This record gives sequence, C-alpha cells and structure tokens, in this order.
Amino acid sequence: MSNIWLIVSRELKVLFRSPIGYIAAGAALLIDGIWFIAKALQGTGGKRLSAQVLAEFFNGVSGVTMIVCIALSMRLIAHEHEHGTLVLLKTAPLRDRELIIGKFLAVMLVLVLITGLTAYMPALIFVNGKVSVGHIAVGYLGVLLIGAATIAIGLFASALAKNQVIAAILGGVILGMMLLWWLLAKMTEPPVSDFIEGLALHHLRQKDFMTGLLRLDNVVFYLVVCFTFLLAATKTLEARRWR
Amino acid sequence: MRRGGFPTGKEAIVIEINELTKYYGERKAVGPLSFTIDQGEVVGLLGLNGAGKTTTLRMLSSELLPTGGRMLIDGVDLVDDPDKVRRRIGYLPDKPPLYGEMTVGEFLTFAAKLRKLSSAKARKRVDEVVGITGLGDHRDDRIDTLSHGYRQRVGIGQAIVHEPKLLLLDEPISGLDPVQIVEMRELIRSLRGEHTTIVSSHILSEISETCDRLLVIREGEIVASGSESDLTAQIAAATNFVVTVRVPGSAYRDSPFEALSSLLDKLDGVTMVTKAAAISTEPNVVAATVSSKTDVRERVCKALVEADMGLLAVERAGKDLENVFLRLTGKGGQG
Repeated sequence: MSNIWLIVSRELKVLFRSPIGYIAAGAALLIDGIWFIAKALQGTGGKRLSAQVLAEFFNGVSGVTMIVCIALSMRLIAHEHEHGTLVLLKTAPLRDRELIIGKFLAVMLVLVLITGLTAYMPALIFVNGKVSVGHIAVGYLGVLLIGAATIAIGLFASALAKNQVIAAILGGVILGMMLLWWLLAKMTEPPVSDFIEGLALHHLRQKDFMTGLLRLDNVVFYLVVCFTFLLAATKTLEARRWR
Repeated sequence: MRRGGFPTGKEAIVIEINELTKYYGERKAVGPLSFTIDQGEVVGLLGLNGAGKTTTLRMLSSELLPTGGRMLIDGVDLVDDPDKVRRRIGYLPDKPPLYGEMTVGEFLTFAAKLRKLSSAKARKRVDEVVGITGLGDHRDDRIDTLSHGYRQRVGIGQAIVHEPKLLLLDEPISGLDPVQIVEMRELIRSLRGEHTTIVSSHILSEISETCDRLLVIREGEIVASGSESDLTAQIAAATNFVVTVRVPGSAYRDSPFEALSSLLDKLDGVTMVTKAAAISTEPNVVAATVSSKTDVRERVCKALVEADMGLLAVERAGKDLENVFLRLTGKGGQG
C-alpha cells in the first residue's frame, strides 16, 4: 500500500507543479460553465423542468470529463518511457500492478477535485428549482464512473505507446470505439443489438445516471471496464520485460 | 566453478550467472553467458557498442527478463523472486532516470522510499549520499537545472541510496568532460568495498583504472576475463609482434623485405607477415609484423640468426591494453 501512495503523491506533485493540472482543471471548469449556461439553462428556448436542466448539465460534464481524463492519463506511462524514468520504477521493489493502481488513483483524485469544483452549478438548480440531492449524487457518480473508465483506457494506451502523442491518439481511438458501439448495434438484430448497445460507454449507461436512476448493472459495467483496462495496462508493462 | 580466470579468494559470491541468454525475436543479443562475481569486487564489463553489455545489465537489474539461464543474486533467483532481489540492487542506466521537476533532495528521498526505506532512514541516507556524491551545494536545486556531470552524480546517488549489495553502472563516465571523468572515477573508487560493482564501458581506459577485474564481451559472450595485467599476458602468447632486422646485401636481390618475408613465411606457426615501419634511414633495415596463434618469437629469432640477418628488435605490436581490447573484441586483428 505504501508503494501505491508513494506513486500517487509523486503524480499529484507532478500534476500540480506543472501547468498540466491547472490547465486541465481550468479548461474543464470553463467548458462546464459555458455548457451549463448556454445549453442546460437556455436549452432549446422553452421552459424546462429542473430535473431536465440537471440531466443536461451532467450530459455536458460527462463529455468534458472524458476529454480531460484522456488528456491527463496519456502521459502517465508514456512520459516515463519517453524520458527514461520508467526503468527507475521497473527496477525498484514495486509491482507493476502497484504502479498502475498508483497512477490511476492519482488522476482519479484530480478528477474528483475538478468534478467537485463544478458542484456550484447543481447547487444553483437545487436552490432555485426542484431537484433531489439523490439525483445530484447519482449524476456525479455517473460522471466519476465514466471518468474512471476513461482514465483506465488512457492508462492502457499510455502503457502501450512510446510517447504521449501516440498515447493520446490511441486512447482517443479506443474511447471512440467504446462510445460508438451503439452505431454498430443499429446494424444488428436483437438480442445481439441489445448486447452491443450495452457495451457503449456513454449512450444508454449515462442516461440513467443523468436522470437520477441508479442501476447496479450500470455501476458494474463501468467497474468491469475499469478493471479490464487496468489489467491490460499491467500486463502490457509485464510483457515489456520480455522485450 | 568460477569462470573468468581471476583468483577466487574466500569472499562470498554475490552474483552467479549461468548460461544466461537473451534473444530479441530471432536475434541473439546475449549469451550463453556464465560468470561469478565476489563480494566487494569492482568488475568492468567491456565491449564495443552492441556487444551486449547494456542488455546484460538490464537483465541483472531485473528490468528485462532473460530468454534462458539463471541469475542468482546473493543466492536468490532473480526471475523467481524479483522483489527480494531488487532491494539489493542499485542500477544506473546509460541515461540516468531522473525526474527533472524534483529537487535533488526530493528525488533521492523518493528513490529511497521506493526501495522500502522508512522516512527516518531515508532522511539519514539522503544526507549521507549527498555527501558521498558531492551534491551538498545542489541539494535544493531542481534536477533539470543541473549540468550533465551533476545529473550523473544524482543518478549514482539514487543507485546507492538504499545501500544495495550490487551496484550496476552502465557507462557512468560517458559524455563527461575530463575533470568530471576524474571525479567520477574517484567516486566509483570510493564505493569499492561497500558494494559489489559492475561498471560497463566501451572505452577501456575509462574503467581499467577503476576495476579489479575486466570481463570482455563480444557478440553477447565473454571472450576474456581478468585484471588488466592478466589480459595483457593472455594476449601476449597469441599476439602480433614486430621484428626489425638488418638484411645483409648478400641475402636479397629485389628488396630486403621480401627476403625477410619469404624466410618468416616458411616457419611453422606464422600465419601472416606484413610490412611494418622500420625506424631507420638505412635501406636494408626493414621491419615486419608477424601474426601467429602461438608464441613463435623464439623460433623466429633462431631462424633469423641462422639466416645471418642482424636482429635489431622484437617488440609486441600492441603494447597497450587498448590493442588487447581491440583484438579481443575482434576489431583489431593486426594489433
């Protein structure tokens, strides 16, 4: 456990000593704010229910979160590889899985911080409209879960790639594929189409969270995606020792 | 059994390598490699670029897994129990693994904790290491502001901060200026005794003064082993030598060298005779480089005397260890 926290604390220092963390947080908050005013509050012109405004807010935040998570995770391993520092970690009494978990948790903590800073927007809806705390909590849970899945995808891409640019492209491609499963589902018939549609990262899964509906299968889905890509990242690092 | 020909002594064996091999796809990079290294020894791994030095060190550091063979570090198999072994190894790759945004003190503390040192112990060791490596004035400087020489010192610092039994230094002197080279040699020498050390280099003079023993590696295999004088002696028997003679006028018609050459070519054991520069203005004083696989100097001298040639000098063609190295690594056939 101490190994993991050592990696977490180092990553956090890197993120907040360099402009990366501030730029990512600033950009995310700016875009979330613009989205909240221009899309969620104004919408299509007519009056909207508070719950609809909140759902639209979470829709925007989840999209921004995915972009931020890819941006933050692309450097995690690829940067170490690029600068020759990965060898320090690979030759230390540190398991590859501890390294991956430490890196993952560091970006996750940054995500929690950025997401937490958006809380004033739902708070405004809560004060001025009629939404439940449960709806807000479930919406944020959805954002954090899709964020966690995206970080895991980005981390896997970062472990595969030898530099950050390739990691970002690779992460973007995998994320794009994970988002667009529902298009493939349209070309097939049920029950195959239902299964494929269920694999899409955002399409149906986030809709439930946005509307305040907490379903166990959605939570499990994101956790499975997370675990799968973290495992793949760990195995990628392990395999590198043979090359 | 100890391979490599160096006197064994009673020290405990720290590294035992047996039939170690590494393939990248179909291409063999290292092996089969077998050697042992005793506690406290400073061993130089010497070879040209691409000979397999870095791959060998990467395997010993556990960064890379071998294709075959065994590596026992302090009696523990590196492949079976890498975590246990990693605590006992300090590794400085050819490019020091440094986090530029950290200060020297922060980085060394991080490296110490990464190797399982407690906070108190890490603080103590960082103080000591800063002293050993001469980084006292730069402890609070960011690493990316340091010169190459100081970065290399930080690299050594991270490798020794946890007091490893085995220290692996991959080309630690590469890219340093002459003053830094002298300082780095002194630093490596100062570590003698505390750590068993392997230093790799492709430049013999860089490490011959620092090491107790040299392992010469070529195409992934050890082709010679021993101290500087051992290696010189090993090669002496099979080396080239230059013979300088005064050829009497009666002994040649066309040129004095041809007369000498035809005489030497007939001798058993002589594989090649080539013209060498004779330091004389006399036209009949000539020199030839004689190549042989065994020591044929006595035979050559006897033949020259019997042929009534004035023997002026017999010298080894390669007098310095660089020539020995070039011969061993297959790049200096003529010495």
